[in-house]
Amino acid sequence: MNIPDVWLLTLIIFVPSLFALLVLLIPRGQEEWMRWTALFGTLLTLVLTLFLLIDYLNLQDHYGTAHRDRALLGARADEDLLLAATHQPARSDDLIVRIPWIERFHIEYFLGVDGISMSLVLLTSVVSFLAMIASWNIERYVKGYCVLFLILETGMLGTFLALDLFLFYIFWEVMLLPMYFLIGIWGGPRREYAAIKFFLYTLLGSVLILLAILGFYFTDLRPLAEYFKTHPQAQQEAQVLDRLVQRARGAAVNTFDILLLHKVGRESARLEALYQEAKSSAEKTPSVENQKKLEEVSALRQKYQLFSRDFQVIMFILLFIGFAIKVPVFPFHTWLPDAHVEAPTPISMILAGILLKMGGYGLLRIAYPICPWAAYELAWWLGLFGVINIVYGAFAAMAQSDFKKLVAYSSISHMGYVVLGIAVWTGLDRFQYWSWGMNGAMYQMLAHGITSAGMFFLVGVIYDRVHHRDLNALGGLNNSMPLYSGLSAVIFFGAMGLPGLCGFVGEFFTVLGTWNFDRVYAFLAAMTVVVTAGYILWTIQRVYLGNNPRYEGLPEIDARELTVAIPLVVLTVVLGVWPPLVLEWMEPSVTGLVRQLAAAVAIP
Amino acid sequence: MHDLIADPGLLYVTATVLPLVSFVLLFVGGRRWGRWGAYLACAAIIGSFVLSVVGFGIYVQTAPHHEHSQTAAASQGAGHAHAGAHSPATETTRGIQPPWSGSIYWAVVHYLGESEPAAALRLGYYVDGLTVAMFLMITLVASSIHIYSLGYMAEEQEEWVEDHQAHVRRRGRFTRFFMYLSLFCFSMLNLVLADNLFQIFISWELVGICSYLLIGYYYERRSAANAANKAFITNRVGDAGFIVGLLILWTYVGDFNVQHVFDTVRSPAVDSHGEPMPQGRQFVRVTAEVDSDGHRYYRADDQGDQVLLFRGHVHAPEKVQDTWHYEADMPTMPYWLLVVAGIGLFLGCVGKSAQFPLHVWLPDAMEGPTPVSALIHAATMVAAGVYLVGRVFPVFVPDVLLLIAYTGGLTLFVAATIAIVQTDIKRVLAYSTVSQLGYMMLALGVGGWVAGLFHLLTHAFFKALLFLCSGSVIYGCHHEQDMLRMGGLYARMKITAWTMLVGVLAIAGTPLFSGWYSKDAILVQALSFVSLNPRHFLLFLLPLLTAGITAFYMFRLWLLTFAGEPRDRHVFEHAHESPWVMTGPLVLLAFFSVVVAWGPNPFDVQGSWLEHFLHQGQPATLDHEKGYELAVVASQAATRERGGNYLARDSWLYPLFEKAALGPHDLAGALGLLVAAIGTLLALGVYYWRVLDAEEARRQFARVHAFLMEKWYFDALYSVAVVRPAGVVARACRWFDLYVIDGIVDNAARATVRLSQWDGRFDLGIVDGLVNLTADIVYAVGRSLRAVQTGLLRNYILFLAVAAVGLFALLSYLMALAG
Amino acid sequence: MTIAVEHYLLVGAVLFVAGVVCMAIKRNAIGVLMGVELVLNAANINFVAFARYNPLFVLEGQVMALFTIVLAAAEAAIALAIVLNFYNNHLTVDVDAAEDLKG
Repeated sequence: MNIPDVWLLTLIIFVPSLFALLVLLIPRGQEEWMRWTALFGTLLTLVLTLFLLIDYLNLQDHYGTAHRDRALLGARADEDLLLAATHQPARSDDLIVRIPWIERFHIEYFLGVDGISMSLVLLTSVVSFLAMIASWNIERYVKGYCVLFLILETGMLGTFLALDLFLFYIFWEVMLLPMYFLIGIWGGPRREYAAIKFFLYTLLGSVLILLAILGFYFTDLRPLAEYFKTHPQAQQEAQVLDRLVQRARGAAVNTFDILLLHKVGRESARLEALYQEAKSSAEKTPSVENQKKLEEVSALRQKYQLFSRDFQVIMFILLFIGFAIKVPVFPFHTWLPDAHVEAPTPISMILAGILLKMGGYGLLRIAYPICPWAAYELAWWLGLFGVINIVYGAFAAMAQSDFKKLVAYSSISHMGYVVLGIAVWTGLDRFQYWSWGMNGAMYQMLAHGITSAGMFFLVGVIYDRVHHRDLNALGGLNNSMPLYSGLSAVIFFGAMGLPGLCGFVGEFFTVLGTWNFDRVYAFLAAMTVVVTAGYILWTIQRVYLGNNPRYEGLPEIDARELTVAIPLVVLTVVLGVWPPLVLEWMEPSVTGLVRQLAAAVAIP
Repeated sequence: MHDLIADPGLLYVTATVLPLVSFVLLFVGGRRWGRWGAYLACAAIIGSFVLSVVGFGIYVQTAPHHEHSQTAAASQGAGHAHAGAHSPATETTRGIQPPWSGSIYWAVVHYLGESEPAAALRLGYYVDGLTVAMFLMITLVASSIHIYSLGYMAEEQEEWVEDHQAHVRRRGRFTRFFMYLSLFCFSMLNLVLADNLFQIFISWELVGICSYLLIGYYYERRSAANAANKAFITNRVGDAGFIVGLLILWTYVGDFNVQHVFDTVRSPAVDSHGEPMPQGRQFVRVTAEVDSDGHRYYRADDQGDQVLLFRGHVHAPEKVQDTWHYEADMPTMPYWLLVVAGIGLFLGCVGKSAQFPLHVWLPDAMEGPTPVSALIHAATMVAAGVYLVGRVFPVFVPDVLLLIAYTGGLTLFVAATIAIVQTDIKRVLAYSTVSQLGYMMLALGVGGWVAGLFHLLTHAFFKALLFLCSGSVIYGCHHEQDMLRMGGLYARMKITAWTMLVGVLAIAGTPLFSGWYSKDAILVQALSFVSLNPRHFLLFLLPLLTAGITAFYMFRLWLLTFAGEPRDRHVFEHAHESPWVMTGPLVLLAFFSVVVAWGPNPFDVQGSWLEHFLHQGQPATLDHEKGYELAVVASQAATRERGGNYLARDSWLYPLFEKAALGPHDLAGALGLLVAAIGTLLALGVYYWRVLDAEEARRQFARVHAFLMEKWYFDALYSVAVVRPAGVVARACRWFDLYVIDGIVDNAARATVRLSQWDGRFDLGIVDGLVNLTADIVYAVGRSLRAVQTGLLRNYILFLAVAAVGLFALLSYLMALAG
Repeated sequence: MTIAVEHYLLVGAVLFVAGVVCMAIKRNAIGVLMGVELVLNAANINFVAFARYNPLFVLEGQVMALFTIVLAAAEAAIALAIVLNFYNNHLTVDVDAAEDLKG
């Protein structure tokens, strides 16, 4: 596509908002028009996202396998900055957009795409499109619903594409408020309680994230420029930073630039690693030589380490809690069942399909690269959280009798694999295992986005027909709605992690990675497949199998519902059978990130 | 087609994919295919069978002679494909000579480069003698069962079907049955075809889900749905162990390819320079040591806590004072983890092959349609566990093999005892299947690789036959499964009765029937093992005893069903022989149940062609086992070399041999036949001649009978020990969420509200109070000053004047003070 | 004895006091107005006296006196108008009857 990336990325984010404006212009009484407009908005976004995918594939092909670093955002962004230093225009096809916005505070309109964000943007636009089709039976305040829905989509897409912390935070909050209203107005009987619970939980998270963002912003980066100058192999970085220092004209250099902060984090981690190594060797063999080395490294660390160990740990914990609430990680998860149970079906789809992924994305994009040392130190605890999520969510799901609540708890269990996969930081010499974990986590996010959206939709289909969700009162649907039950079986088996369906891939990768990190975790994660099979099969039995004369005349799934369900089923199968379809372009970015981080804390 | 001949492995890939194609077409087409869908599925599996036969032909022609294959395999072991060190010998095995293999990437961490260990997951095929034999068996049995199902499931073709057990009228699901069967055939063939454990695991789960779907085929029946769940969940317990095994191997080998795994955990026969390795083909347990020069090395040690891994360049060890010293830079893995890996993989097999203690699902699985029981729960899927043990045999260390042997021994005995008291015709067969699978496991565990897999193949035929016969009986008796209501059916269904008798004779180990050859092989293997390790005498005693029990309960089954007087007139009068589409496969399978194990001379129990064929494919490592307490004489070939004279003189069995002047082979065979004959006579005595009264025996042994009827209380035990605790934990989690976490959250919210109330009160009382107080004071002052404001002009002027005077006076006073 | 500024001031003071007393004790509004005139004129005497005796205030004193005279005239006009109005409403010119502003 020959659309300049600045337009492409901007359009992807703001097309939904534009359509929200359009919907506002439609007079009352024309509900059908509003729905179609909103649907067209999401469809256009989906098409644009596919263009973006083509562009990204071209980008990778263009650079070829020899320059795998191009899969990383940092390399492309640096290239752009160097071009700017020589007063050349930035490339318009590298999918990096950087436009000054509020220069007084160094805030930029800074967007970019790599494999990690690409996959999630794609997921967002697909799930949003399908959720909009699923929204057809929303009858109350259609205009408000469509507008909020579209604004929500803008917020989500912006969050995944923003590379400026300030911009990121804005989109993050933009996403929050529509969600509150969508649950609170269009939800079930306890919608106010659920909406407020959701809002308060996530707001708490946002505040912590904001604190961390400010903490990063108020760090002066000038020493880093000095530091890079002392490194012959970091000339490019030195040049980039020099430019910033010059632009600041002697004032402190502060930044919201996520990629720059990645660099700061990595260098700080590197210094910390050097220091820890020198310290331990000095303690082990207290020779004069070692002592001298320790002093040297210590002085270096004193001077150049912008994010000290303690600072990183505090910031990381703030960020982690902030993102963990979104994931959600035990014990910050109880907003999820309530929000899901009360939210209308399409909003549940979005909530489970996309919103939960923001937590994982935040960890991958912000918490881990900016505070690598803290992540490295706390890896065991993060893994513990992941494992608790997996086991606890599975058991809690087993005890539910509300269909939607069961699916919600299964989400908690499955998102635990994401946390676990991200957490399993093994050393540099064995970092392929962490790479499997990370890729597994990313794949699990996609797979869960598809299966959980599918499951919530399928629950909604039944709810529309029988007007309750009590598992113990359902049954025998396989007879009255065979097609529907067949599709459900595929999606539920996908969630259960059946090989050949998408849920298996992520879980298996994660467990592959985990074993080399902590055997007990891997063992627990592997044992949980039994519990997962237990609650999913039991659910299938209670809902679809058996015989229940009450539901004999239920109408079969209709054409509109099929348009939602079939793409999800197809994706479940395709992603399960042939993961290279996604891994081809996602994995270089993920593994690249893993390698950078692993190299940062490894002793050279 | 040319490609298929050039690389016969692709022939097998095609054979595997055919049922998948059929599945996809049926899935997409759904009911619209009608009975043509069933024909499509049959055509697909028959196509696979034809391809398997062609492949077998090519294999027989091109496979090198036994001795050659060993050396070829040996030298292939030295070249590690993933280490990039292809030895010339490996090259020669390429092309048309088996084993044929190939693979593609499924998932790769590209960034690392593909040569790194643990960087890729692959899908591939590996065809050797075992694969060839398994393909033939699976496709043949599956084809006959597909055809049989055309008859057995015929009523499903109706638009509406009455399910008498669940009391519902439902739509017929003819195509769906064949769709599931197709998926199963694909998964099962893929499992056998796979060249790596990962792919095996995928297929493993897929056959599991097919089994789930087919057990739950009559899902309106609560018992069927429960049985399906039980089967899948029990299997998942095993699968969790399987995953752990996979993880350990993945970590230390960096690859799932079965051959790479063997090559890595066991010493190659020769090192990278062609020097012979002293412990070639064995696990090398070592201890890390440091000599006086500070030189580190690994000392070979049978009790060492590490196992050497052979990756990349390998040097032969040095000999120092009777022990071998390996270089210190070789990778190792802890021995206990290798044990755990073996147990983990075996646990997967325990689940799939319904071994003790996970055997409980198989009898319940009989809720599925009978052809399913025949195909999945007798001939193929449940045998997958045995197949896998055989496939990864070289990974199992002796400790694990002993565990396998005891598991098999226990299983075969427990299941056989339960089978004695069952009255449901299919349940008897189910327990018999469990028991026979135990035989196979036991054989593998005592080192009888050939014996175990031999029995797998023969058992597949006669057990499929037995199930199909029972299906024919059930079909003929209008879904009556209780043997106590049958009897005398021989008069009504002669073909079924005769073919079933063939099956019964085969499973009882009657000479000239296929079961004779394989069971004999197992007993011989067990006896030779026990003679070397007398402590483990149970491993021979249990299978021997059970051979008698097997004969007893199988004849009991046949006699109760077909012989004697009809016990239920109603059933008897409506009984009829099944149509040819069902009896045809019976005859075919009966034929194979007899001849499949024949050799040039059928009276030579050791002369089976099939056994010989399997023997060519057995892992090369088996011939090199030595130096362990559990060392076993692995094959009959080896037996013959030693002239049958390998019995240790200090063995407690030795006098017996001496007195009888028998080789152990003859002894085991003779004992087996004797015991089986006793079992048969007992059954005839009780159920035919009626010289013994079954009722009397039941009363005499009421306790034992109850114990067996309750299936040794396994289900009750699991209910108490596993299922209920899981429910309790689940409810505890929900409770924790609802009351603890949400309690904290809600209470925090409530506390916030209360705080804000206090805050409101503070605002009202203190902050506002201060403001109000100020106002009040001002007001009071104003009120008191109000009196001054008389409104009278003259008063004001007076005040003015007085004020002026006062001011003046004050000013003057001040000025006076100031001077 | 020379006439000095003190004497003028004394006259002014007497006049002032007389005016104030007049305002304070007269109940007739016209009387009160007359008292006001007295007070104003007392101030005038002071202005003029200072203009005569203080060279700095020659012009200012006289101008101020003229201002006061004009002011007095204007005041008288307005005050008489108020009184007339008051009379129209209350039929009396007794200032004690005007107590609407009582607090």
